[in-house]
Amino acid sequence: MDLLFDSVRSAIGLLLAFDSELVDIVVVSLRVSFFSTLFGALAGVPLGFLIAYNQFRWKRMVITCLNTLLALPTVVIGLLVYSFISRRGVFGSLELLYTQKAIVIGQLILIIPVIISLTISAISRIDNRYRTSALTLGANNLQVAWVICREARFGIIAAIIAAFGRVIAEVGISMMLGGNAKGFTRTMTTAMALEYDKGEFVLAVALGIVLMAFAFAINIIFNLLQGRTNADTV
Amino acid sequence: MPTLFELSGLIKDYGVRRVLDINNLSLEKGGIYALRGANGAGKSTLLSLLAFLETPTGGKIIFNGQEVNYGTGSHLYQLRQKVVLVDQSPLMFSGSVYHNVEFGLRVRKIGRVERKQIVEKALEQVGMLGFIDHDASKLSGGETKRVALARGLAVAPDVLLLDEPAANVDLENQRILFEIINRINKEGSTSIIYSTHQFPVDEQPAHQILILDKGKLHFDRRCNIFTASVKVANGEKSVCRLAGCAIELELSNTVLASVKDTFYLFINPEKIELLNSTTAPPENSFGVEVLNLTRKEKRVEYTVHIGKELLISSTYRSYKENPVYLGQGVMIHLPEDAISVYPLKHGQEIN
Repeated sequence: MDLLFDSVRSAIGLLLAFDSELVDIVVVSLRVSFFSTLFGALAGVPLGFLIAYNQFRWKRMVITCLNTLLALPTVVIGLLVYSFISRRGVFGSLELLYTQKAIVIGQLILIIPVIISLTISAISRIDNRYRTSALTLGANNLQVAWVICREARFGIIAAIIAAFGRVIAEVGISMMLGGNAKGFTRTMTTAMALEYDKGEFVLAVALGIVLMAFAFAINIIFNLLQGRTNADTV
Repeated sequence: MPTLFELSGLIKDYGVRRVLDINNLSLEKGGIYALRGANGAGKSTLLSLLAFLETPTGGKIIFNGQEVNYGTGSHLYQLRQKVVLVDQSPLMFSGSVYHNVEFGLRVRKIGRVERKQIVEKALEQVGMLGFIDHDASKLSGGETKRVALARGLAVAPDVLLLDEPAANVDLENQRILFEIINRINKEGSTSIIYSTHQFPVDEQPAHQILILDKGKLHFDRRCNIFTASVKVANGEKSVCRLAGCAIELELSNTVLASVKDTFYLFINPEKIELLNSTTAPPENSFGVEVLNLTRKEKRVEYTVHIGKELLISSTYRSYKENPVYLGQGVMIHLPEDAISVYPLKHGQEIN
């Protein structure tokens, strides 16, 4: 237990001192996760809406496939993307391997099914009368879509937050496609894995604390938003 | 009056179930129509079709002289600008009452200042101006219905369709709602079609009543509805007296199971039989005189007198086979399957 307490004490010291290495790692992590989540939301929310809103022949099969992709291991995604962007890969000439862009690409494959599935779930729960009310009041298809998304906003935000949580905490993609280059592609999780390998727990624990603090803060913000809405509607 | 809607051969199926089957129906501009029928009669389906929110399985709808083309989204979008349906249990969009009422104006790209004036006027019409900044989700059932009505009125539609405006609303709010409906119709040129599962009474305005039963339109006049009471109950049958009429009907107690001593009685004009004088008349047969005779498309309608006017509707073919003339005495038979009974609420007797 002494090891843990000593590590926590030293980690707090690092955090309070705004250690430059720690700050760099946190910034890289946040930047990569932010762009992954942003692009994932831009692609996943409209796709999720379209699947939920429209009736088509293979709808159930598509949803089943998406749900299966939720369990896709990060190392599998890492391998798949690696095969495309490595020097011998189709996109090798783009020199994406071991860059933050490569991590973003891998993380997009990881979270797009998450965002689509949770958006489908959020949109499907919205009463059809919102659609008919908007239509009968003269709304066009785009305006109807906006009304439905507005009513499903908390479910959609929850989908995006879940996706952010998934990418900020994943290690396989960042390690395989980013390469854990210090100052460039070293994220909180890859740094923690490296420090663990070295037997240095202080930075790993400090990063763990930061990671948990972010997750906690995001959830608090979301709960506050939801709580305010629930209180308004009681 | 010019024709607003013309429906012909209109069919709507949900899976294998046929929920609507209307041969012909014409609705005129500027009218108030009450669409009456029991739960599941097809009222909401018909209103959804008239609001261009659903596609019929068969048949056609002509609106303002133009056949509705369901294959073109932009055509339906144009039509929906003129017709508004207020749902039976309307949902308010998240936000204030103002945000809800201005929705139809925003999508029509009406400027902010004009929007505000229209919203205030619409809310004033329904007596909800004082709630303009309230959270729409906090309104009571009656208030929600009035705001939903204002939301529809704000866009000044040619046709206002109201699905069960009186349902789940207390008597006071019902009275207010029907006053509003009457006023809107009188002040503007808005045609109003509303559905109800209750019998339209005096405070419920209606130039014409359409009765739907299991998806079929039975007749389109405020007729053949009587207040009836059980005169003698014996064994399996009871003798019932129709208020203001010279006839008494013998009905089985299974038909009367859902009502008390006094009730509404509706005689379906399409099921009234004209008997050949050579046959022995069964029970519930009466000799009457034909007062009026009208041909309507493939049907012929007779009016006879039984103390009140009774409408009979038969096919043109059967009329040709057995012609009837004005002033002629005929024998009619009212079979039990032509008769429907409904509970009577206090103070709703038809005199």
